[in-house]
Amino acid sequence: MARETGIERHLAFIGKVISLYTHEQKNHLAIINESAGLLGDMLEFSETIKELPQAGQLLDIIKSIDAQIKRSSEMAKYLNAFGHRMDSPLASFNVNDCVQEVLVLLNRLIAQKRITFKTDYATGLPLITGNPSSLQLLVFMAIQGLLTVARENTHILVKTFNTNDSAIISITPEELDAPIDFMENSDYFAPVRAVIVNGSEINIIIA
Amino acid sequence: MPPKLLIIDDEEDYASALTERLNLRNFEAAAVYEAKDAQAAVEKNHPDVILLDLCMPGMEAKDMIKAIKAIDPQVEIIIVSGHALPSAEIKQTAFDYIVKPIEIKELIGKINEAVLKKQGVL
Repeated sequence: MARETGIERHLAFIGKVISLYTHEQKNHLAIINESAGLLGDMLEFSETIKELPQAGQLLDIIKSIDAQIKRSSEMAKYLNAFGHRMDSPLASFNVNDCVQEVLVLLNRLIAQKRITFKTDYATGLPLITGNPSSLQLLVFMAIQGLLTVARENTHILVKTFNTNDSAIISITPEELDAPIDFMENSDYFAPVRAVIVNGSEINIIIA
Repeated sequence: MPPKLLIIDDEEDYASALTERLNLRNFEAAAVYEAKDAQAAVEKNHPDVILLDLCMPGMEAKDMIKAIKAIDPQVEIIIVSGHALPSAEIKQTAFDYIVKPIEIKELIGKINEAVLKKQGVL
């Protein structure tokens, strides 16, 4: 069943982000759980273990726990910012930050197709006034659409740059198996002025 | 002979720690971290039970289950995943489904049940 309204699409987007985030979070917790469990086992089974663990091995396990906590905390930071984008329908925001949040939260989705993101963010972009959450939804929809045609084991380049009076988000897959079929010009996505598909590139133009 | 287990999971730290924990509990566990290595490992080792991650890069779980069962129809598969709502089809084709993070005692209980089923006791 096709999702017609912006609000329905927005809810589906939030649902997708929540499921991707919690899945990732569960993976981080699973690594911490097994690593801590292994340390406990080394003590519990110390009398039966043939080779007692060396300090280096114990340190590696502790480093693994530490790395997962950092990974998890980093993702939580992005999810928190993503949630706060909905605090107000009208806000001043930095396009790069807005895009980065979506990309981090979609990493698991694109990894399923062995695709990675490459980014090239312009410095000195003007602050945009509008609904940042709607812009994030549009970036998500563009990437979701590209995933159906982008070739496995490639990357998607996401660039930002500015022209005289606009900021532009350019999304370009490295290789495609089929032409891009994406068009979106709804008022729901204000402050987006236009979405232009140019060959293998989607340009989101923000006034 | 201890039951042979194969862990298929792209999270290396998770899979290697779990492998060690299961080996300490008298299983013969091994792990592969990429979907492309999974079928060869099944062919080579003929595990009794496979602990399969549902969402691995470049792999549809239902295709992987099908491919594994084509190699060894007797092997029992337990899905271990961070995905809390698998499709009914996936649930039906696997012996059991556990959501990460796991309780080691619960996992061992499920593995032992799967081994008994494979032996025709259950």
